[in-house]
Parts: sequence; structure tokens; C-alpha cells
Amino acid sequence: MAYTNQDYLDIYTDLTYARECSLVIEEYALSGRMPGFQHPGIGDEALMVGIFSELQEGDWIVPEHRARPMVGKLTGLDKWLAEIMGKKMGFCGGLSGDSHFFNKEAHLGPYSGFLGQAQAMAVGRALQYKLDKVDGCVVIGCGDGTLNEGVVGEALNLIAAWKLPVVWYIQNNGWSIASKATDVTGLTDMSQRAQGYGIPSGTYDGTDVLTVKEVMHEAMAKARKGEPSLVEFQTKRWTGHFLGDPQELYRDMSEVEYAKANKDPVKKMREFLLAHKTATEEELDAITAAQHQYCVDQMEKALQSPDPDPADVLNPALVYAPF
Amino acid sequence: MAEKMIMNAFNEVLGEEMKKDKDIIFVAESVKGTVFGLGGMLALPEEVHDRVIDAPISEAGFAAACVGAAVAGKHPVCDLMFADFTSLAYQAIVMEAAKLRFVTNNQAEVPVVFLACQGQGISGGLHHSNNVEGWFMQAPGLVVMTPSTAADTAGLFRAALHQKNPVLFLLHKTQLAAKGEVPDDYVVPIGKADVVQEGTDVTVIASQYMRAYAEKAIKKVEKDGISVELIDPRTILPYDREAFAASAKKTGRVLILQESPLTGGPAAEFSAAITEDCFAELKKPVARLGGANTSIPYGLGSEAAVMPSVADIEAAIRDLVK
Repeated sequence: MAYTNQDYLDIYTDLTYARECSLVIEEYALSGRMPGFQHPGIGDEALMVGIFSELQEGDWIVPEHRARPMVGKLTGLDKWLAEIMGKKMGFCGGLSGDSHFFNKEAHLGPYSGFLGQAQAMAVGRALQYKLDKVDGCVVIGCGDGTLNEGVVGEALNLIAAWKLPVVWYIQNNGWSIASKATDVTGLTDMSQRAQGYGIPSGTYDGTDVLTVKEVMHEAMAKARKGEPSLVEFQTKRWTGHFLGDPQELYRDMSEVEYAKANKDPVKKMREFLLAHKTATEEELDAITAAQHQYCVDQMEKALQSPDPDPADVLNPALVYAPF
Repeated sequence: MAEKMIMNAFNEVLGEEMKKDKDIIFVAESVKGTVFGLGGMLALPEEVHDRVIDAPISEAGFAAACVGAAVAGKHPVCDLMFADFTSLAYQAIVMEAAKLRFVTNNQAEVPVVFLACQGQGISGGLHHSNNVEGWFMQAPGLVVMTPSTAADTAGLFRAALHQKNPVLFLLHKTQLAAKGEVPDDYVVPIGKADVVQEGTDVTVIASQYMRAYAEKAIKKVEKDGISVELIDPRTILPYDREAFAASAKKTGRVLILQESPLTGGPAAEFSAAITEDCFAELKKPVARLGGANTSIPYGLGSEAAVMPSVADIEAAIRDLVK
């Protein structure tokens, strides 16, 4: 694909936004100002930005669970932060929190607290796309751990057998919660799973945003014509499974040090822009500062917003529509 | 008005509604060719056949897909065949379909009908004979329908397709060929029981197989002048608490029947509600008969041992009026 200078700057802005969003959440959560468990995607910005930036108007996405800053971009960051804090201003009224969300306008979800279920439900969205001849594709994401859920196998078979307009991406960061992926999976190349179900697939470097964009661009074009495929992106998880998870207990931390030094997608893009004189240090620093401030502002707004009333939670209209 | 078998009453409503509502899709295993599908029992007009979708043997997967398709605006009828297999689709039915409206703050709705045949009576063995309605009473957001007649089958299925809540539609596998009069364009209001016959001495509450047995027992006790009011709940969730209370206040003596193992089933819920509402009027404690608290064996003779018999029901009615 061909990119203009502005395209590159926009990609850098998104990468920086995603990084700053995660860092602000980390800061507020670890200092006790933000309630709840957080599952950061620090280090994974190339994957989430690369994928979400390729979504066109008619497409739909059910992402894996670390793409949170980009989910926030689709829904409005203040509404997403409010949702993960259980606030009334959240885009699901605070009832979902981080795991059960749905937003029709954003073409997002529904997600599920059961790993694998959201992906299986997304097969139904893809079926609707095929039946109604929607001009678009459905992007379904899962982590290396979720790939082992039985219902995921059923979903992959349904996609292949029914020939659905899907791009399925695997975010393989090598860790299924606190288990090494290769200790709990029979494969090292996770994309082979797709071949087992009859879906063409490949494995790619998920730490390079331009690689992710190219791969998704091609796969999504095929999917919009009704040809499903699966892409595995290999990435590195910098943090533990959740914020506060003492990952030194189960991980060789040199893996994390190496990734931070050599596979930082934000740093790589910054070096690229400087090397090609597309921007100066000052201009890039200004972008970082602006994104940081934006995330802080949305965080403060969400933190100060009200909780749901008990009456909201007990509203019978949430249980049954009129018969 | 016409006399029809339950199976045909169902098919005709499905065919009519599929012609009118282009979003209805019918998803089932081996539905195109076999005697259970378009090749036999599922008689549907040609023009809707492209919305009849053959599913692989993966109940968890295609039930979840039907939930997703419903959220996406389709109106799926998801045929799980045997009610026992709802256990494979439990996540989709209870954890997703019943709960998505709530957890998305009313942004998602799930107008899906999960269809299955339940119950004993054909020597189906351990995993093809369960009556599952009790399993799903604790799923607020779900509607559970258990029609016993051709009219109620047509009326409830039409009602199910005309509203937006997820429905578990349970037919009884011994009743598919049972005939009954079906009024044209019949719709049964959801959550309303049917007073099948009025009486003054004893209220009997039963549906499907247990209702058929109850009707035989009632004929016997009527010969001795015992007047029985028979109520068919028709829906297990939500259920018609008012109709049960009105009858219990009239007769003061209630017998509730349940095919599934007695402990913790719908009869317990109905009994608690009736006792709360009618304590002053009850002449005896609410009585229940249910399946034995064990598993279902293979073979019709052994099957009968784990379910209330006509004689058991007759004895229970007589006991209430002593």
C-alpha cells in the first residue's frame, strides 16, 4: 500500500494514543484511583492499531481482549473508561464492565465473559452479512489461549463450511494467562489450526504496524468477497495477564526486556518518521503530550461521573421486552 | 378451524411466518435431506427453502451463531432436536441469549427460538429422554414454552415469533402426531395458563405427558363424583401465578405434576407461589408428583418406573379429597 506523510503521522498518533491510554490506566489503577481489574495491551499497539485502522464503514469487529484503547476509540474514550468502571455514563450503562460490551453504531461486539463465546456469536453476525449481502466483512480476534476453547473449533468449522466473510486473527503473545502457550497447545504455529478446519492462513510479525496493515488489508478485501482466512500475529506481552500480576513468578523477564528494547512499535514508528524526516522530535513529542493529556482528561471525566442507581439495575425492561 | 397433528400445526405456522418475515432462518443438523427435515417432517413451502440452513454437528457453535445472528437482526429458529442437547448449548441459551439485553443496557436484543423435543416415552435412553424445562426456570430473560396440544403449539409458536425475547420452545416427543382442533391465526398470550376443564374439588396442574396421564386419571375419579379443575401452564417461564391462585382458592386442594425429577423442579416453584398466595384457603398442603430422583433407564418398562403413572395420579387426587 502507498502511504502519504500524513498517513504515517496518523498511524503514529494512533500508536501513541494507544500507548498513552494504557499507561494512564496503569497509573490510575495502580495508585488506587481506578477500580476493577485491568488487562493491558502495552507493547501490542502495532496489532491493535494495524487492525482497527483497516476497518471500513461496512465492517464489523469482535476483537481479542487486549485491544482496549482501540475499542475506546470506536465508542468514545470517556464512555469506554466509564463502562470499565461500572459508571452510568458507560456505553452499556455500566452494566457490562470490560467484558460483555456491545455497541451497534461502532459495529462492535457483543463480547462475553466466556472466552470463545464472543467469537462463536460473531459467526452469526457473519452469517447475517452473507444472507443480507452486506458490503463488508467481520473481523474476529482471539488470543493464543482462547484458541483452545472447544467452541472456537466449532466456530472455525462453521466459517469454513458456510463460507462466511470473516478475517479471524490470532494475537499470539506466547502466554495463555500464566501458562506458556506451547505448554498448553500442541502447536507452535497457531495458524495451522485454521488449516485443520479448511481455512487458508498464515503467520506474521504482529509488532510491525505496517505489516499488520498490509496483511489485514488483503485478508479483509478477500473476506468482503466471501473468502474467509485466518492470520496469526506473533507479539509480545509486556505486562502480566492483569495489572498487578507478579509475572516474574512464571516468566523469564529477559523476554520482556528484549521486546521493550527491540520490538516497541511506538519507538519503531518514531525512529522511522525521524529517519525519513517526516517529523521532528519536537513535533512527535507534542503528539505524545497531546494524546497523554487527552487520555487524562477522559479518565477524569469518567471518574467523576455518577454510578448507576439501583433502580437502573432493577429496571424490568432490561429483562424482557413487552410480550 | 381445522384438526391437525401437532407437528403439522407447527410446520404450517413456521411456513406462514417464514413467508411473511424474510429474516426468519431455520438452522438444524441434517435438515435438508432426512425424514426429520425437508425430506419429511419439516414440510415448508419451496420459496423459503433457501433460509433453511444445514448445520454441522456442533450444537454449542451453531447455537451461539444463532444468538449472534439474532443480535444482527435475523430471526433464527435454532433446532436442537432433542431437549437433552440444550445442555450443549447452555452457554448460548442461558449465558448469552437470556442476558444480552440486560448486560448491553437494552442495546442488544436476541429474538431467537431454540426448538427441541423433550421427555420420555420412546425408549430414548439416558441422553434422549430428559424433560428439561426445570433447568431453564432460573434464566430471567428467557421464555420457556411447553405446549401440549396442536392449538397451543400453533398459538405459542406464533406468539414466540411475534416478539423479541429469546424462547426455548419444547414440544413433547410422544405428542408430535397428537391431533387437535386449531383455530385459524391462533395466538396464545405468553405467560397465560389454560383452564382445560373447570371443577370444584381439586386443582391439577400439568402439561404435555403428565397432562395426558392426568386426563386419564381424572376420568376415573370423576366416576366417583370428584370434580377436578385441570390447568395447563403452557409456559413455564413466565408462569401464570394468578391462574394457579384463582383455582387454588376455589378448590383448596392442589396437585402439581412434573415429569422431571421432583427435587427443585417447576412444581416446587408453583407450590411455593400457591402457598404464599392461598394459605388461608388451602385445605391440605399443596401436593406434588414428579419423576423419581434418579436417572432415566433404557427400555419402556424401566422408563415407566421413574415417572408417575396414571394410577399414582389417581391415588394422589383421591388422597387430597379424603
